[in-house]
Amino acid sequence: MSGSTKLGRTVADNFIWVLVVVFLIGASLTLPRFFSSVNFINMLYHSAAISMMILGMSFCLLANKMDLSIESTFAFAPAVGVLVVTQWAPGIPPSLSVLIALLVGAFIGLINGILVVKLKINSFLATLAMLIILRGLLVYILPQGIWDVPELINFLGSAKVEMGAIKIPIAIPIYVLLFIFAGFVVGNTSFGKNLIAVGSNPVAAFIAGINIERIYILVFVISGVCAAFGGILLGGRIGSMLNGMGEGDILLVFAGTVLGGISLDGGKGKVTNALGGALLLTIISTILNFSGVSPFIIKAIQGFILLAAMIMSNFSNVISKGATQP
Amino acid sequence: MISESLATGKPPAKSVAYRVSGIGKQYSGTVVLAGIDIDFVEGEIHGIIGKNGAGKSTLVNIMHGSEAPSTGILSIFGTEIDHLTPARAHDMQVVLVPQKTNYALDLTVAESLFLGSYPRRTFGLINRKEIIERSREYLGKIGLDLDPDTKMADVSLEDRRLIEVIKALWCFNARVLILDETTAALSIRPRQKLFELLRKITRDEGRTVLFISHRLEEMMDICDRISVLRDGALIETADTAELTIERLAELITGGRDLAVKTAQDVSDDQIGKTVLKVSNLSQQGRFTDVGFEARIGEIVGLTGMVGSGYSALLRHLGGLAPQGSDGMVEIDGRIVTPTTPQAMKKLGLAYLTNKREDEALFHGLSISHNMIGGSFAKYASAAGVLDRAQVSQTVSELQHQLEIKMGGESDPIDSLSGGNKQKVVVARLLNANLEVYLLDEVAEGIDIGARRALLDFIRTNIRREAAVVMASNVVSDLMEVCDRIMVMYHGEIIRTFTPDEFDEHEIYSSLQGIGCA
Repeated sequence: MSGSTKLGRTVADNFIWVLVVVFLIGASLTLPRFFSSVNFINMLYHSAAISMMILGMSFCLLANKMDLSIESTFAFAPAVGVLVVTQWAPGIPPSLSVLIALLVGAFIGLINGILVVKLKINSFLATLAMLIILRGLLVYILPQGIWDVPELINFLGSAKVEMGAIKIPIAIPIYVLLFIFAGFVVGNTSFGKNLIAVGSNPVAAFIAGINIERIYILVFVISGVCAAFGGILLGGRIGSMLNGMGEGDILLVFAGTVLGGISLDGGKGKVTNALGGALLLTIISTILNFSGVSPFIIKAIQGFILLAAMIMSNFSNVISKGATQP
Repeated sequence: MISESLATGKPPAKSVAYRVSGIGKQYSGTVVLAGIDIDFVEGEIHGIIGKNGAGKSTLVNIMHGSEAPSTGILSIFGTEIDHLTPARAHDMQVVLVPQKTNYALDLTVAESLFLGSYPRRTFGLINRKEIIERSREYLGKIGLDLDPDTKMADVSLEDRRLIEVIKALWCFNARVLILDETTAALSIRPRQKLFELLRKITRDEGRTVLFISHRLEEMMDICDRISVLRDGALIETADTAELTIERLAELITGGRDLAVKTAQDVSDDQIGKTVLKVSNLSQQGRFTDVGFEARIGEIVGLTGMVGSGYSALLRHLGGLAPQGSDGMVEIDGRIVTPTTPQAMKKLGLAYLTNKREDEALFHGLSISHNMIGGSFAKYASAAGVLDRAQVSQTVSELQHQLEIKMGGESDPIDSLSGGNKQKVVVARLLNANLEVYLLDEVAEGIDIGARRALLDFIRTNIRREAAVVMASNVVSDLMEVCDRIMVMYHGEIIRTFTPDEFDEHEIYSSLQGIGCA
């Protein structure tokens, strides 16, 4: 393969970052006050929660499974964590709320995994059911919000580090580093290679001696933990636990992962690029805000961008395969 | 045409059904075909043969319209065609029977035959009566004794192929019939029926057949002329009458040494311990009371007709189909129950599937990923991080050993030809360093030169440290490398041939069930 096509392929695979840069430059040139450290940091900050969900979803999609329940785990797990330390067992140290939340997230993931792997329920349907069940349970155990979250959660979600005149919330490096770490794991460990193989062809993976059931359960657990952590970051940022957190976000999570190049067919895509998808969505909604566009149309516009991204990715697929027909 | 010859007593002038001139194809810099000039004459059976990667499939795709040529002209029945598509090809009565067909198994034979060309009544409703009658008629032409209302799922694989041929000839009215490796899965009798049919439609009806195959004897048997492709170029188009098999083999490979090797040269002291022992093994509906042993250094052959149970046997031993079985399996003297491929791999046994595309390859992933397969743990440190350099080295070594024609290790697996993909899958198994290899059609899709090399490789390298059970319906391959050949029929091992008994005709008869008690 000639040098130019290899470069071409690299650009095509990581195209989301091209889009991110284009949008940033475009917005900076046309919108006043867009190009400022305050704004850029804000955009990164506000992406934190949804980025964590996108991270979890990426793992699932790479294995060719779906986890629709993440938006509910996102709220449910941290809520349980906080409830335990504030109301149900008030003696224990409040910092444990974080650990409890993550464990609850992992446990939900385990349940999802068992439903899909052992009971052989289609992952879309199983996690859809969990989505509804968890949200229902959450409203039941948390009919009113909690306005006093434990300090550790506050810290993770709101603490800022000062660098000169700029204040950077620590949540930003936390989730960015998590993405980089996840990307490394997928690309450079045997677990990652097996995960991709399972997503690409589970039968072949099975025959090749990979334990596909274990991989499936693991991705759901990872997804649950990521969702729980995302909820912690959000809860820390807004300083409260509300039973409506995350509701409706699942669609944006899909949009972000697909924009980031994670294929819905499984086995294809880079986790670090999913971060790009998350950022792009935030950038676009920020642009629309700054432009004074009605907030009600923002979702539709994000949907359009998603559609455009899918058309472009299909188009480049056809070209690279040299087919005359789809 | 024929009437002309009757009137004048002169042989009819053969007109050209399909002409390819200067046809070439390249994919972003890689030239896959160059300067192909062939005239396919009406009424002939014209063979196209060549190694894997020689360009046969590409040429066929271009002639059928599913790919566009980069250079050159196609003329069908004298008309030059721009932008051929499969639909247009059908309109011009050029029909391809592809190598791999996906059947809608819920359809009946009749529905499948007329798929795409249903005769209609008023209001566009399908004329069922006509479909059934015509199906019966067409099935009869090839001597297939099938009820048109049989579901395709209940039809044998061989008969499905023949149905595809019937469909091309009479439902699509092919004047030019392109058969791409159609005989690969056919055993002797259906193949003879097919050849009779081909001779009839060409001699008597003046149709043209393009016959693509790997098998030299077949080509010499059925074709009037043969075109040999090598590395994307046309080497020669010759009359079969003026060719010998040796000459043909020479043309295909460019003259390298293809001496047919027979029998084994392994002495008894190289045969080691019994690593696999099967006793009274049965699986409901698949095989019964199977018993045999395989020792290190042995290559045990296994054959039978499609459905005789040999594939099912290997799949069960490989851990793919654990249910409903009875009997004993011992590996290295220990009694085991085949549960999953993962468990069997830990015991030192692995199965190479015969369904490469669906069950072995990770499409969309790189060559190196496919080659390492499920063995990445071998290259990981304690923390789980992969040693990329070691992986690359392994890939490079395996590429070398098996002579895999490929670009870079991170190229997508689907950039390789079928035969090279098969080599990658074989490499994956070799890399696992097992004690028992269960190979199901290991040389499938691999052309003559590479096939010999691969079988040689199995014979010399693998057998040193492992036992091999090799299943195939290409008996000549088995005769070349195996220490004995077991024939299965209706789920039972009916006969085991020792090397001095190796005779292709005998073994074929045996697997048809002829001449057994």
